[in-house]
Amino acid sequence: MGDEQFEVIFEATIRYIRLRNEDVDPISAVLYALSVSDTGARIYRYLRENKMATPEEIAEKLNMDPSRVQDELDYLYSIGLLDKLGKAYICDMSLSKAIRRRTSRRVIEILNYLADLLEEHGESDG
Amino acid sequence: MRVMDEEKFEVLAEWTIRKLKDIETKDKDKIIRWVLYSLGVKDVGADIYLYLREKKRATTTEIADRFSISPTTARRYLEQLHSLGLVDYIGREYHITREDLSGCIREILIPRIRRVLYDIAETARYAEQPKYEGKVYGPEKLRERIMEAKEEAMRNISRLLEKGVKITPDIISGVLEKTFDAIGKLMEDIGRSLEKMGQHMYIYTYTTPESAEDRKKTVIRIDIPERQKKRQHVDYTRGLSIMETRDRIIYNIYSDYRLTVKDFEYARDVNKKMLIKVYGSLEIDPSVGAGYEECIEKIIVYGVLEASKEFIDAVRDKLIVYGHVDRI
Repeated sequence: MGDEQFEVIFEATIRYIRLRNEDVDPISAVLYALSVSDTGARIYRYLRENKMATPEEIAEKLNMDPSRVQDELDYLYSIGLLDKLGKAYICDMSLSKAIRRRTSRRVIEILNYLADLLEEHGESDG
Repeated sequence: MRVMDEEKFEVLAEWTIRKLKDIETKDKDKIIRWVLYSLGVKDVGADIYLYLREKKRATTTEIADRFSISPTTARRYLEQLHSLGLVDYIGREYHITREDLSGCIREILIPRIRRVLYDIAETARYAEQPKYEGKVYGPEKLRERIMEAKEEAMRNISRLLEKGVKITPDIISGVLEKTFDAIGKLMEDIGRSLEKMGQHMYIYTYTTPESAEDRKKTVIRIDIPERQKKRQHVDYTRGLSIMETRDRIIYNIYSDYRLTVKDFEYARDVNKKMLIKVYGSLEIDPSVGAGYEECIEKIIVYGVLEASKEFIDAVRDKLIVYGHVDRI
């Protein structure tokens, strides 16, 4: 049975990491642990400084491909690091708060849903 | 794959969590595969899990032979299943952790992921803390500044005397007030510096010395809460520990837990105070109101606490929050 039959809506990777040296910027480490790419990290930092921006504005200011910017923003939004209002993406809370309040909750929700589904289908009997 | 600068970081473990489009099936095997794929376990990994589930236990070599893969590849798949808490091993032999996959997710994986995310959030919190750039005073400086304040007070008194001002208790009190204000401000500065930087402060006080030999020193130690204390020995696989002592019920909550009126009534009946440490997530039933405040000795929140506004307000003085509190 192949995995290709399952359609992925969203995917996040959480990493338990160790720094190879002490000079690493902790914010970079945190973003890496949440599998945010280099481009995503640049966008996140831009929004941290400017609080709010549209994808077009970010693409122009950071000289990036607009569709790539959109993909990265979707990921940052999906893991809860950003909020969205209309066309604008908003960095409305500190990184630590966003992880506690949104990332953690979203990931745990997905996992609880999986456990619920297994229980509904009597997985433990099988 | 999302890649940043892997030279800077060593990945010790990683978990891929996928939200998949729902499937319409009652086929248990397919549902399990769907769940495994949601946890980032691909074809062979899922086959190995199902094989172990059926066979109960197998060595890496047996698994490698069974699936025509190298022992190294087999080990890689098994390590992924192990990180997810689905399998465990003794020596070279692997076995499933629990019969039910849902139990593995709830009891092992969720606390583990929650804990890792908590650590990631803590790293972010460190990084986001404002850096202290003020002056740091040592005890010598403190004494020097106190002497300066004292000398200024003496100068002020002399000046008043020179002007022929009659020294009344009001004037003395005014001069002393100014002196102690200066000392107080300095102490406050020192306290703030140390609070941002370290664990405790020492304040040295001296009696008025007749001579250097007569100087008597008193050391006062003020402890400042250790906000960033690392917990090295947390058992990720346990969701909860409850321990009763002679006068306390101590809760250590690593996973999700819910306290209800019954728990509070019990504490009240046995006349014990509740000391609650929340590393994971604790929900206190909304029906637990302000009246149960007396049952609480202290609640320390490193993770998430949810409780009624009324209850939170009532226990405010007993609440130490490093994580997050939600008022329901």
